[in-house]
Formats: sequence, structure tokens, C-alpha cells
Amino acid sequence: MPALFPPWTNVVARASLIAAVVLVVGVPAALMAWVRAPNATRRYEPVAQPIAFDHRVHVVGEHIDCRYCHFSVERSSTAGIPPTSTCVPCHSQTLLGSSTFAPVRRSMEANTPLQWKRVTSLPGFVYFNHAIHVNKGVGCESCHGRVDQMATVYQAAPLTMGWCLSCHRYPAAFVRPRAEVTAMGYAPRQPQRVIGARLVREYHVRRLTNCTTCHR
Amino acid sequence: MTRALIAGCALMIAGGIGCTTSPERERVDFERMRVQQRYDLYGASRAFPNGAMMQHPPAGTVSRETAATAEAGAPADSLASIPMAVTPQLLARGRERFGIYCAVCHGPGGYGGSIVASNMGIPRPPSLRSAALRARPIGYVFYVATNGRGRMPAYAPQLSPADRWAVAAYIQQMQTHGATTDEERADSARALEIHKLDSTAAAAGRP
Ligand code: HEC
Ligand code: HEC
Ligand code: HEC
Ligand code: HEC
Ligand code: HEC
Repeated sequence: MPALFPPWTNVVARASLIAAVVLVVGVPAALMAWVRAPNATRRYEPVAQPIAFDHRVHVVGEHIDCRYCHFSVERSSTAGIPPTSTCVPCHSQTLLGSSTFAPVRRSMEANTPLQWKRVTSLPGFVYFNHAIHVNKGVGCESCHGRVDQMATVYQAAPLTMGWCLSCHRYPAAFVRPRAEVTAMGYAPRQPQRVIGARLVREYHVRRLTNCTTCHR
Repeated sequence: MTRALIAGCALMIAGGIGCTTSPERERVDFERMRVQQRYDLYGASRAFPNGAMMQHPPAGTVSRETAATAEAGAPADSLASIPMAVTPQLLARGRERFGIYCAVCHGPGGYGGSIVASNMGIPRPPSLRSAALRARPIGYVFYVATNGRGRMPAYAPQLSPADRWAVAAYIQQMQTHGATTDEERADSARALEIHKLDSTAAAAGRP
């Protein structure tokens, strides 16, 4: 009886072994890398809004604190988007009459809210709360990046679970004094190692890594 | 051996086909977890005419927070003193809130020389240090913060009654002394400049 497998099948066997390893290890690894890539997490993508609202003009140019517009950030789970009526008083009549402001005028007249598009958004199965972060000294910048330098807001952080946990496991590396939470381009006056440890004690910051912290 | 292989393959193919064509398979929707059937804050809703999920409370609604303070009873604008102990903590809170919500227009020193004020056109936010305002009872500051006045919107949504009193207390304290920080001096200087520009414009008959 001739050999069931001729000699060339040795090559096939070796090649298929390598292919199997690539399939079993490489494909999942590639997929895992892909879901974390900026493309898949939709990081850095500018989002077109009904009005060209520019944070640079308002935050840097006009020295307006984040909390002036996102005023529920310290006491509720959401930071909130300001109602149209907030936008009207500060602008001169000429600016309000310009075509840029047409959506604002329409919104005021029809009493319908401006339809801003969401930039940062978590899946429905994740619970998030702004107030606790802000009140325990986590700055907007840590999660939203340099909003003061963005012409249109984009998502600055990956917002993956690993990213949330990287801070929840060791918050001392990120906390800042409460008075500085809305500061952009914050640099600690003392080394973060010293100040972080002190603030963690002062604000009683816990390490929340239980699944039920965020999935409830 | 071969027969077993063929049978195995046939079973797998049949299973695969069965899976892809069964109606259950088509209904598996992985987005359902991410986008759940509920309204999130600030979301859109088809249930209300203005298309928003969040609605204003009906006219005349009194919040429990408001009901518990002086705001609900006697008109606050005639109150001559702050209805709570003026402590350093209250003043610190007032200073912080003033910096966020009031300084934007009235300037960090209350002179009315903010950058927003210089850009916004007439009528501009007035100085909070004027003799006219100082002659008013302190309740008036609280009243204006609550209800707004002229071009200024109401700040009741942003500031709780206690915070509005804290701001009033801080403004009262601020009125007793001049500019102390660089920021406040810049505010004062810019306020003068704006005032000069406005008066020359008015003299030239421009609005
Ligand atoms: C003058 C009002 C105003 C100020 C001040 C302001 N914002 Fe905003 N912000 C808005 C408006 C309006 C939007 C919605 C339009 C948009 O996304 O660009 C917004 C959107 C955002 C978003 C994106 C929200 C989303 O859809 O996910 C972030 C993040 C944000 N702001 C952070 C900040 C931070 C941080 C600061 C302070 C440095 C700040 N904002 C100051 C008005 C303001
Ligand atoms: C506290 C005051 C204030 C608030 C609140 C505010 N703005 Fe402005 N905004 C300004 C000032 C001041 C300017 C600069 C105007 C100028 O340079 O003449 C400006 C400029 C703008 C411009 C023109 C930007 C440019 O490129 O020149 C737009 C558009 C605008 N604001 C939209 C908005 C919208 C929408 C809102 C509501 C979410 C808003 N603003 C809330 C003060 C404010
Ligand atoms: C720990 C990270 C973190 C910090 C700190 C943080 N944010 Fe957010 N922010 C988020 C996430 C995550 C979302 C998306 C929430 C969602 O989808 O439910 C968000 C959403 C927003 C939105 C969109 C509207 C909303 O409320 O969902 C605004 C505006 C905003 N943040 C502003 C701010 C401002 C201003 C600060 C600082 C005072 C701040 N955020 C601090 C993580 C953070
Ligand atoms: C830069 C640091 C940082 C990041 C990033 C961060 N957190 Fe937190 N988070 C904290 C701190 C600090 C606390 C407060 C811990 C405590 O209560 O002592 C906290 C608390 C929480 C809580 C507890 C709220 C409660 O009511 O118990 C939740 C939920 C939460 N975070 C969700 C998230 C989610 C979801 C993300 C990612 C989108 C995230 N966090 C990202 C620092 C962070
Ligand atoms: C600090 C907050 C936080 C904690 C704690 C946390 N998660 Fe998550 N989890 C998230 C966020 C945010 C996402 C969404 C990630 C995304 O959209 O990419 C997520 C997504 C998931 C997903 C879905 C992944 C996917 O591909 O969609 C699973 C499963 C999950 N978490 C399980 C867990 C388990 C199990 C634990 C406890 C060991 C846990 N989580 C603890 C924040 C958290």
C-alpha cells in the first residue's frame, strides 16, 4: 500500500500549523487592536453641529468657565448642554442678526431646542456620573482633552472600559484640587506624586473597580 | 473513515445553513445593548411637540428648595440683610460662584469691564459697585440673580437659593473695598475704557 500522505504534505502540514497559530492568535489580537484604534472608538472625529459653536472663542477669548454653560456638571450625572436662551444675551444685535445665528433665532421663535449632535457618548449599558468625578477632583481635561483648543469638539479619549479602569485603579495619578477642575492646561504646583496622594486622602477617593460601579 | 468525514462535513454545512436562515438568528441584535429603548437626558422625544425629552415644569410650580427659603415668602428684593450667617465659608462659596456665573459679564472685580461686556454692545452689564446699587437693600441683588433684569437672564437654574445669597454676600463685601488683585484692576481699567468709547459714540449720535 502506498503512503497515505506523500512527502509534500509535510510542507502543507507545517504551513497549516503556522496558519492555525496566525488564525488563533493573530486574528483575535488584530481585532482587539482594531476596537481600541481611534477609527473604531471614533476618537478625534470632528462632529458637524447646527451652529459653528467654537469653544476657543468662548473659553479662551471670553474667559467663560465651563460651568457657566455646562452648569449641571457639579450636581448631576450629566454635564448638560446649555438651552438656547443662554446663547442670546451675550451677543451683540449685529452678531445675533447674522446668518450664523439663524438656527438660534429659529430655535427661540419656535421654542424648540437646538439639535446638537452627541460627541462623547457611552453605550447604554454603562452608568456614568459627572458630579462624582468633578467633586472628587477629576478635571474635565482628563477625559475631554483640551476643549479650549478645539474648533469643533471631538472625542479626545478612547472611552473604552480599559481607559476608565486605568484611572479607577490608580486615581492618585489624575486627581487635582477641586478649584482647578475646569482649568485647561493644568500643571500641578507640586509633583503629582505628592499632591495626588494628599488629595486622595483629603477627598476620600476610593478605587472603584467593581463591575457594578459602571454596569448596574 | 471517509464516510464519517463526509457525514461530518454534511452535518456542519447543514448546521451552518440552518443557523443562517433561521429567523432567531436574524433577530440577534448586538446594538440593542448599546442603544437601549429608553430616554436619556437631553435626548429627543416624539412624545412632546417641541421634540425634547426634558420638559419644563408647568407654570407656577414651586420647588421644595425654593419653598424652604425666604424667596417664597416676603418679596426678597426688599430684604435688607442676608437671611443666613455670613461666614468665611459662605463668602468663599460666593466668590467662587461669582467667578463662574457673574464675572463673565460684570468682570472679576464687579466693575463691568469683562471681555464679554466689551464685545456685546449696548446695553452693557453695569458695574456692581455703583452708588445706586449700594443704596439698594441686599435682597435686590438676590432678586435680580433669581429673575434676571433687562438683558441679563435669570440665574435660578444655575444657582441654588443658598448660592445666590452667597453671591450677594460676596458682592456686598466686595463693594466695601477697591480692586485688590491684578485681575480686578484690569477689570476696572477696561470698564473705564468701554465707558469712554460708549460716551464718545453716544456723543457722535451712534448707538
Ligand atoms: C458658552 C458656552 C460654553 C462654554 C463656556 C463651554 N461649553 Fe462646552 N459646549 C457648549 C455647547 C453649546 C456644546 C454643544 C455643541 C458642541 O458639541 O460643540 C458644547 C459641547 C461640549 C462637549 C461635547 C459634548 C458632547 O456632545 O459630547 C464637551 C466635552 C464640552 N462642551 C466641554 C466643555 C469644557 C471642558 C468647557 C470648559 C473648558 C466648556 N465645554 C465650555 C457650550 C459651552
Ligand atoms: C457669556 C457670554 C456668552 C455666551 C453664554 C455665549 N456666547 Fe457666543 N460669543 C460671546 C462673545 C463675547 C463672542 C465674541 C463676539 C465678537 O467677537 O464680537 C461670541 C461669539 C460667538 C460666535 C461667533 C464666533 C466667531 O467665530 O466669531 C458664535 C457662533 C457664538 N458665539 C455662538 C454661541 C452659542 C451657540 C452660544 C450658546 C450655547 C453662545 N455663543 C453662548 C459670548 C457668549
Ligand atoms: C471621568 C471622565 C469625565 C470627566 C472628568 C468629565 N467628563 Fe464630561 N463626559 C464624560 C463621558 C464618558 C461622557 C459621555 C456620557 C454619556 O454618554 O452618558 C461625557 C459627556 C459630557 C458632555 C455631553 C453632555 C452630557 O452631559 O452627557 C458634556 C457637555 C461634558 N461631558 C462636559 C464636561 C465638563 C464641562 C467637565 C468638567 C467640569 C466634564 N465633562 C468632566 C466623561 C467625563
Ligand atoms: C481620570 C480618572 C477617571 C476616569 C478616566 C474615569 N473615572 Fe470614574 N471615577 C474616578 C474617581 C476619582 C471616582 C470617585 C471615586 C470615589 O467615589 O471615591 C470615580 C467614580 C466613578 C463612579 C462612581 C459613581 C457612584 O455614584 O458611585 C462611576 C460610575 C464611574 N466613576 C464611572 C466611570 C466610567 C464609566 C468611566 C469611563 C468612561 C470613568 N469613570 C472614567 C476617576 C475616573
Ligand atoms: C470604570 C467603569 C467600568 C467598570 C468598573 C467595569 N466596566 Fe465594563 N465597560 C465599561 C465601559 C465604559 C464599557 C464600554 C466600552 C466600549 O464602548 O468600548 C464597558 C464594556 C463592557 C462589556 C462589553 C464589551 C463590548 O465589547 O461591548 C463587558 C462584557 C463588560 N464591560 C464587563 C465588565 C465586567 C465583567 C466588569 C467587572 C470586572 C466591568 N465590566 C467593570 C466600564 C466599566
